[in-house]
Amino acid sequence: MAKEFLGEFEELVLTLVAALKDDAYGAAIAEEIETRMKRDVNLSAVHVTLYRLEDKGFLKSGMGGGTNERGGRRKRIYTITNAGVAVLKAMKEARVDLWKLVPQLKIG
Amino acid sequence: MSKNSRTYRLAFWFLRCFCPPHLLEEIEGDLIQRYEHDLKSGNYKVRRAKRRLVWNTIRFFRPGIILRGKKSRKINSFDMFINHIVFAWRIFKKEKFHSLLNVSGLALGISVGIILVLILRYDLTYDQQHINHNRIYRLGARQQMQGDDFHGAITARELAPVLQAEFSQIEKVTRLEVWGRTLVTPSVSETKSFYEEEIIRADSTYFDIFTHKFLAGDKASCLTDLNSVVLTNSASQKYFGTTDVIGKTILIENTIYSITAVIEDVPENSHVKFKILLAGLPDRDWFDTPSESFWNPDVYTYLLVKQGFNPKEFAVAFQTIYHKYFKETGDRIEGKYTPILEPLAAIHLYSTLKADLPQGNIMYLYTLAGVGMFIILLACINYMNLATAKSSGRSMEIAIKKTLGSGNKNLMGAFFIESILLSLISFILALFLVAFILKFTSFNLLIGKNLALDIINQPELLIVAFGISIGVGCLAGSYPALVLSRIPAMKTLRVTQVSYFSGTNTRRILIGVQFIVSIFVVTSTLFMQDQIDFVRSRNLGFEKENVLVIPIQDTVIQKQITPIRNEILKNPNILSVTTSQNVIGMTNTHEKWGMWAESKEGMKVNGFTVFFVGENYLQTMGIELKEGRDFRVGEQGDLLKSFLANEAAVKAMGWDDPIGKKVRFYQATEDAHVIGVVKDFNFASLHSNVEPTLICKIPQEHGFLQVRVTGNVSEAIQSIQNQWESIDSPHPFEYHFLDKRFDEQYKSDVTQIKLLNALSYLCIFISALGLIGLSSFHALRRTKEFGIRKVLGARMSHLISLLSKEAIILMIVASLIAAPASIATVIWWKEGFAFRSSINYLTIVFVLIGAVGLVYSVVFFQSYNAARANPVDSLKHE
Repeated sequence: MAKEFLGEFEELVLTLVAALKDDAYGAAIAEEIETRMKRDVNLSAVHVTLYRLEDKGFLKSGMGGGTNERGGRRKRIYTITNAGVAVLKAMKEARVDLWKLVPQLKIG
Repeated sequence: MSKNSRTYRLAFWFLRCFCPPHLLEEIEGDLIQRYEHDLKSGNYKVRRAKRRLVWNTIRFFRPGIILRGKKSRKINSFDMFINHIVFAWRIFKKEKFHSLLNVSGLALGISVGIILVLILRYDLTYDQQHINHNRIYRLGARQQMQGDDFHGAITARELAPVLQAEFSQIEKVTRLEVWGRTLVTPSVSETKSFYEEEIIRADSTYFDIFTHKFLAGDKASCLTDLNSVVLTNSASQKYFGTTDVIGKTILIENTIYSITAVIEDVPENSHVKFKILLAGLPDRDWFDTPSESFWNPDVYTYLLVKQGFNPKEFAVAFQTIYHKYFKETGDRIEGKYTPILEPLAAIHLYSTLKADLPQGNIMYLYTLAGVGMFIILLACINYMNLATAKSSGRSMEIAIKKTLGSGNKNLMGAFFIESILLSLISFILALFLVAFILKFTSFNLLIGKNLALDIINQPELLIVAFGISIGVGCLAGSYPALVLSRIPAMKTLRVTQVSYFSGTNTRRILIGVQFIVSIFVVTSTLFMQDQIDFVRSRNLGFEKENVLVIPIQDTVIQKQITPIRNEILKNPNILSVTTSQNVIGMTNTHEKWGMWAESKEGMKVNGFTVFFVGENYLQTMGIELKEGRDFRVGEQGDLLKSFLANEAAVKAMGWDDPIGKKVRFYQATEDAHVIGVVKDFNFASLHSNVEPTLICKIPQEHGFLQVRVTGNVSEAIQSIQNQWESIDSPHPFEYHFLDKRFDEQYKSDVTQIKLLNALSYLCIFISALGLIGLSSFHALRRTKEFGIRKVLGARMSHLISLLSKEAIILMIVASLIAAPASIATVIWWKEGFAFRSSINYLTIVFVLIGAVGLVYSVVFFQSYNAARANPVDSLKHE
């Protein structure tokens, strides 16, 4: 099987799922992106990305409890799988490797 | 929360419209949370937050959400579909012989379907190119008087202006006069002339009513001048080689016309066809009273009516017209006049009026469509039979597929794909076949149309044809799909012996249907052929063979008839010469003369067909004189004062002693007398009865010279031609044989039969294909059984009769059903003839013998190998 690649947004979402641990669900991820990254995010894009990552086997999900804040609706809580962690690690290492190739700033 | 519920409801209603239900809860929850978050953060006012909520919801309308029917999409139905196609293709290649049979059968069926669509499209769109066609009516009339009941498409030319003036509901009126063959000379200086068949003369309002595309000239003014003429593109090309002809002159008969416009060729599916359109209709002035002219129809009248026109109201309002214009003569002849309105687009197929231009026949279309459907059905049955028969070979495959989790629906889909794949292959073949038939065979000539499979200009044809083939594929695949998908998996897998699908009865019925259809079509065609042969060979009361007919073109020749006659009679091959105004078989039988005739209640007006003839008419035509005497030769007082009546006239008038009875033309002042009675002769086709007829000798012979020849016909023709050309040099010498022209009246009947003939061959062929497939399969299946039978002493003939028995019994049963049906159909068809042949029941026996022979030989050839095989080999067969 060909090596799985992640898009930039996919990687972002996957990383946040890993970071948010037990509280990773659509709206929370969207808010987290908005506050931390200072970028406007489309809720539906987050959802679709989550579904796609789940299809690829990097995430798994289950229904969590409902809160009053959500009009009684339950959340779908995502957790990262081993494959997800592996792909994140692989990507990070690949990036670090690449970064090492970039000539460092020299003074003098 | 509650005050927001309306916004939520709206947003979530929209979300529910497209969102898969299992995602609904989490998405709704996230949306609410986000909205509350927006409000709490204080960045947004309530209205803006609401807008954001709605906008966020709308943004969920995306493929990633909508198409997420299931949480997981591991099962890919598209892959399965491809797999079905691959499978179907393998089956196709594996069973080459049967696939070939199926494809050829289906291709024939689809070709028939495509050609049918072409024919129907051609005929059903007649005259619809005229933009106003649903507001255009043709006015005909039913004219009744003693001895005549005439439903005619024509009306008097005096009527149209009256209607225009009296009815506010009528917007425009135009009249058409159709000319026969006319001599056309491109210009005065030119010596070369042509005969033009399609010339009409019309009022200047013609182009206000009918839609034609102008290539040159002005639509409004092109017909206002009486000497103007409009040419079609092809006429202008023919006479001048260019369409730049405005202002040029053209000599038509003896009048010079100037060309004012050129229009595009009239579409073939128009009931009025013309190449040259002359302007203006001259008035008629030869009637004693104006009212008399109204009773003498002569032109086609077309009305363009206003929106909301009601034909029924028109009929009522027509009464005032009648009282004003018709009544005077009407009372005198005790006649009755009823107007008939026909919508323009309905004329071609539905008009039954006489004196009409050539038309189509809706029954003919129905027959064609019916037989065409039959053929498609036969082709589909072939497929069904072969597919289900082969089920025993495929039951294992089906069982395995089922075990692997395929549902009935899935299997049915696979079988449909198989049949549709076949029909698509057939479709491509059919396209080539149709193009070939239309281009390279005389098919178009046969049906008298100019059909073409013009896919580039009419891409919708391709879509329709494609639709037909998909339809055929579905129809053919329906039964196999239903049956084969039901084969029980467990039983098939457990029982080692190959189970045999039990639908033999259905298959028998299907073959029976094929046989019934084939026999029905074949016997009907033969019966119709009988009738046409009967009509052609029947004694018509005159001798139609060996009579030359030569048109007398102008008065110069009329004056020289006697010297011409004397000169050509010198040739020993020429027996006698006569002239008459109308020729038998060409006479417009609708033309009846209202004549005063003696009856028991004194002189009354009665309708007669009248022949105006020259010397020696009876002798030349071979008409038999029953009593009285023939006209005297020479100008000895028989001119116009003596009549010969036929038996029908004697009967119609109730004359006991016809000789000496008084007869006189409507306008004549002096009585004439009947001097003899001739036996009835069929001057029109045998579709109609012999009408009461009078024959009258006229002083100035004109019309057509008719010459009875014998012996060396070509030499006789040569001598007449020499004579003729020395006198009439401007007109090309022309002649035809009386019998040929007479038989042309049955042209449409003959066409129908030829077409049916072709279709019946197709029926036989397709049924035979099916039979070949099935019997070869049966023979193969019973190879082992045959081996055992042979060991036990059976001979080959036994084995073959064993195989063919079933088909032959089916064939006999089928004929028992089909024969009465075809007899009934043919009796109904023959009602269109006044003279009918009796039904030859032997035909059915012959057809049956032929059919049984065909079945036997097909089975024989297919099972020959199986039956001949050495039992040692066949017993090894698995």
